[in-house]
Amino acid sequence: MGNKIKIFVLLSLTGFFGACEADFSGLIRSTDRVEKRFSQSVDYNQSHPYQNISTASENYSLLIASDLHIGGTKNTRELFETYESSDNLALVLAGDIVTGQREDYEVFRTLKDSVEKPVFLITGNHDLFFDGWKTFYEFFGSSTYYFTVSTPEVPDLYICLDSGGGTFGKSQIKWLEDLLKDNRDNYRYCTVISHVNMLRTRRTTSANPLVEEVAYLINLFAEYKVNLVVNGHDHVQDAAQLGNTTYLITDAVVDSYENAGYVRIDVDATGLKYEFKRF
Amino acid sequence: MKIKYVFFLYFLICSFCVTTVQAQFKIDVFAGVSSNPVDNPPLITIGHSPQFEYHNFFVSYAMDVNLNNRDKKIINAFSTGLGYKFAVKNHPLKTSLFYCYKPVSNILNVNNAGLKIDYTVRKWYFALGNNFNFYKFNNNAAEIYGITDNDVLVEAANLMYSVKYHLREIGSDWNLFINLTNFELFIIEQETNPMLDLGFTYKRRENSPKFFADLWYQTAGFNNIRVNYFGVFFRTGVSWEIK
Repeated sequence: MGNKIKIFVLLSLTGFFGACEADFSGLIRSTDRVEKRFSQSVDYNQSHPYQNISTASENYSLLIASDLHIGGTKNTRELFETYESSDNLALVLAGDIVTGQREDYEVFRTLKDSVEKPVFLITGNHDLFFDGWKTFYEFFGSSTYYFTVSTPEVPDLYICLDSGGGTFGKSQIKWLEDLLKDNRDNYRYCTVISHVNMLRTRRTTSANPLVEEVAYLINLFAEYKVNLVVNGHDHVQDAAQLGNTTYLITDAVVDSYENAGYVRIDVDATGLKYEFKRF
Repeated sequence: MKIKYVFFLYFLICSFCVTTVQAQFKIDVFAGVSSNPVDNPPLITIGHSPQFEYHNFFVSYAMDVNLNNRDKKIINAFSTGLGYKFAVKNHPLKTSLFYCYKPVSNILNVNNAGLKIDYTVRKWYFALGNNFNFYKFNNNAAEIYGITDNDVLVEAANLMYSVKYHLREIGSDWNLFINLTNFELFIIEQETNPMLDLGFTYKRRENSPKFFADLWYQTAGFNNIRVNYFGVFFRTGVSWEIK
């Protein structure tokens, strides 16, 4: 009887680990750690200048979505169609686009290439599974960069950060600090986008950055008047205000999620406003 | 400024307790160094932690001050706790309430409050608890950055755990231990960010002070199945118990 139970447990575990789209080697080690990814992103940025989007209007909007988890592509297609047919200036995909598999990256690349308007990508933890960073970098390049939106009067700053490893890392934090110190005053609004949600407003089994790092960044965002921080990872929408900074978490885009959605950011002279959208 | 008065009052009460009751007394004096993406260059601290015990009640506090990186803060952390000790099957079970205050800069601090239960059996130490982490902007933030509204954010309840195994019986003259946990004296990480602690203790005689040294290894992203090195910190000191 005892042996039967052991065999059952063994088979169940084998089936579970085999069926999961997760790279469990990541529990004890990570290939392509944050310092290496950041270094490669910086290399990429040197030959690919930061993008500026110009608009003739003072008011504009953009979309931020996260956790596409391709495989399934129904919601992603709908998101791309909505974006293409709208007057949103940019679409930012804040990580967990795939689960690290090259074939899924290829499916996503085909979909993305069909979109003519700017699409900005950041890695999430799932994108790094199965050595996924190598494919991400080969196909899309940097995961740490910024882009700007210039209206006739003032420009706005959007900073995209790589938090797929659960930490921003020493070099990336220094890069962010220098960027804010040297450039923040040149822009009206500043938005920071990355995958792993910084604030833990509900109890989940996923991991956020460590408290020391979160506290440091909250302080940095206050000092440099960062208006908005947008994350994914948690799959469930949330909005919190701490000081003068708004912290948003977007719903997941993934097909299997009942309340799948994304967030639209509307920008005008009075500030940044957000609206959660559902598919 | 108000917080200084609260600390002063607290020390006064503690001192009063010591002089008026025949309390058991223990004090830890320690120094530490931590290195991670935000303690850069590494942060060097010194601290002390007195603990008073009377019958089955105990009260303690701990304070750590920075020796370097003092431009933004001088106090690294302060924590305090009070509790009651039971005996379960002749082994001590401690229940306690605690509060930890950790300045981040001259405008922001991190606070933790919670409760925990500790149980010690021969070579094993277990702890289980729950805490609330909250970020608080202080008056400087209002003056310098105009942060007057939404100056506090309370995060979701967080599980605390510790499983520590000693190589020899607890109380032995020397010992080695390994500890899997998400908290220590001044840091409480999210439950899904475990830390590994390797330590050593030594005392020459039964009543002599105990030397201790702990090396902590911090990881990020464990439950994201993408574990990354985050940082390390080392703490060493002396623990002196007067019975």
